[in-house]
Amino acid sequence: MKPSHGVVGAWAAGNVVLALVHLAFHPRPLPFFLYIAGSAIVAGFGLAVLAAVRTGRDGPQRRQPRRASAAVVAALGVAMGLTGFAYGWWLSVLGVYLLGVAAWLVRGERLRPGARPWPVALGDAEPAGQPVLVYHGSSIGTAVPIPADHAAHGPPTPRTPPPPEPPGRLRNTVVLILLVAAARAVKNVLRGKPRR
Amino acid sequence: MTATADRPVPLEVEPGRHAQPGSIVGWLASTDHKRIGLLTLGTALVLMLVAGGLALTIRGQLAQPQLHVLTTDRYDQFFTIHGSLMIYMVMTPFAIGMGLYLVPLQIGAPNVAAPRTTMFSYWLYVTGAVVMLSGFFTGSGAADHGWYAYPPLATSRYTPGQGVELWIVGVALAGLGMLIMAGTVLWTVLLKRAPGMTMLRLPVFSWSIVASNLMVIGAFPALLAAVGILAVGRVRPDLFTHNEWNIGYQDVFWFFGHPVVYVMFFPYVGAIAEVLATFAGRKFFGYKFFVISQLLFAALSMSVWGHHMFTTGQSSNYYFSLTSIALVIPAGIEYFDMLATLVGGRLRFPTAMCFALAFIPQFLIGGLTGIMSGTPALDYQIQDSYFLVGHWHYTLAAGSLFGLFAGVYFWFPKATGRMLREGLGKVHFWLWFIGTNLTFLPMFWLGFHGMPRRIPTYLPSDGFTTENLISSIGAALLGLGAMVFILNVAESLGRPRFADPDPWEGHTLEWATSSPPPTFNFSARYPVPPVHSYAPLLDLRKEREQAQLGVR
Repeated sequence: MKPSHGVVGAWAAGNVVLALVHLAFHPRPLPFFLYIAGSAIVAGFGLAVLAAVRTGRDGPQRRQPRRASAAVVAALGVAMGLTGFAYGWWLSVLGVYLLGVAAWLVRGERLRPGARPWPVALGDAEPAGQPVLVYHGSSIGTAVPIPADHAAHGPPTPRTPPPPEPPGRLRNTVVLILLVAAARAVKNVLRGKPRR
Repeated sequence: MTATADRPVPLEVEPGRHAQPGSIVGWLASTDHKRIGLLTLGTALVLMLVAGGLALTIRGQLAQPQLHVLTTDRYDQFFTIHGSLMIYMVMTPFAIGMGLYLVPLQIGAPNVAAPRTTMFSYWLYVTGAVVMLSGFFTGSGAADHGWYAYPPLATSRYTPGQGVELWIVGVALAGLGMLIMAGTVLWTVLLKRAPGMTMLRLPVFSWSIVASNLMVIGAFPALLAAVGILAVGRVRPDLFTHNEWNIGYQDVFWFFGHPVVYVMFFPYVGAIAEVLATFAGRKFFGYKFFVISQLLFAALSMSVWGHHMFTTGQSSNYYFSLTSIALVIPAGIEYFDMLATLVGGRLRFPTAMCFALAFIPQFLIGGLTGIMSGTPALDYQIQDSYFLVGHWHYTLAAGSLFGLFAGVYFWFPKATGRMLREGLGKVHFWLWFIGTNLTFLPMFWLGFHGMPRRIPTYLPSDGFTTENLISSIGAALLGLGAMVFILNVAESLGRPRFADPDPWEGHTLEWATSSPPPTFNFSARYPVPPVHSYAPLLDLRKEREQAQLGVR
């Protein structure tokens, strides 16, 4: 998969250009720096994407968490903490306790690396990655298999594969041309002939 | 040493039988992007009914001069919470939630990246909505300063009481939730695509989510900063005796406030594009131009926020007018692409297509009146008049809401495995089509005749009566249409007509899997088909047709 951080980077750069155009209209400092700051945040996101690509963290995620209880409790903790702004800071202290509970709950929600069978997912979920011959609906409704003639199954008749190229033919030709060119260059250098 | 995962082998559900609906805890603490997405969409729709109820009451008050359905204070609270709910809690979360549900399916990914973080964001959003609405139960009532909470009006000196504080907390929670959710969805698109799904094979809808989520990443931190400034101002109201803080707040707020308009627009344009292409039976026209125009549109929309501040005299009016008017270029390209997709197509007209087709002229009215108000000379005349209310609602109600319902009718069978009733859908459509135009078109005339926005009543001698009455009748039709929609959903869930995996002959990967999709979206029975373009299923269908012709 080709990295796609370029989209983010180009978009952030486009915004910086628009911010620089703003300079020509003598803006107050705040709007200009606001725009630059927004663009910098997007650029930071793009750098994070780039770092993830470089460290091989792209592609389908194999280890899936089985539940998100800690996330629910953490969100309630944050909400309670902020609501202290309206009802008093004692409520924020209670929110901190909820965050502690969330930190305790988060253990074990995801299998540690190296667990087998791999890829794995806990609970009643199918493993991600390797497809399996089961259906386990995750939503309201009913399971209906794809009809045999559905386009998702691909074309019905296999296409005739093109005749195989002779192995290495193109590569050998390119190498030969490069070798000849290199030899001529070396010969010219040795003779002291100026390049035209 | 390795650990072994003991897990029960799931049983295969026989075709035509119900899948396990899942326990309540299984839903509320799920890590499945589809469940989190459906929770987000369902919550947004419920809150839309609440906001719609507030709007109907407002229209009831304004139907005739000098009515007193609501007290003045309560009227102020109703329009504030109506606007705040629709923007922070309905249209934005629904747009981002659509991306959360659909994007992993469209790119062939098994799940969203960081599903627990995504669930965290959903709960921030829900608690934000609850906290904001809880303001109605305080002694001072809910916030009543308008959806953008300008200081010094919104400070504790001029608007005391807990309602405003709860509004600030609610907006901060929901804004943070949407920022995180948009981040995980964008991360998924950029890093978790299936093999073969290059960026230039992303479906149009997924590109619209990329563009809008980039804006969320860039602009939503400004919302958090703005409500932070407001919170400090609540504690220390003297802060806003300085002009730079008042104008500074407006700058910071609108740096979020204008891009969010496009966050509430792009995903619905993406949905419209998918609906138009599917029901025209051909690939979306001008794909690459559309993609570039979306990204350009998104970048320009980050640079137009100052047009909300023309009348303050403290923004660069020339620059912001230039960038605002420049928006017509990418918008024009998108309109051209949408119309060209229809030309020569074999058109079908289910409810989703009707909503999509109505979107095109209605949003055009909203867009063109936006260009008008993006011109300082005109904006000075129409500032804070009903003309702006009309423009705004043509953009979001006649535009984005029609895109929302086009998306709902289009993807409802995929998400639930059940078809909505076409007959009821058409009734819903016509009620909304007539109701929307009856409600919002007279607002332009009201604005021209000088009716200011946000007034709780008016005098018979003002000359606003006829237009307001027409507008209120239209609002009643919208309420009736909403009830027909609820009836339609209840009917389809109560007496289901099961949906095929691909009831519309769709173009994108979500139609290659079952309805509803399995846990990790694709499996051996429902494989990810080969992806050669942004319409992989249409490609395969054409290949099949050509192969069959060749066999004959």
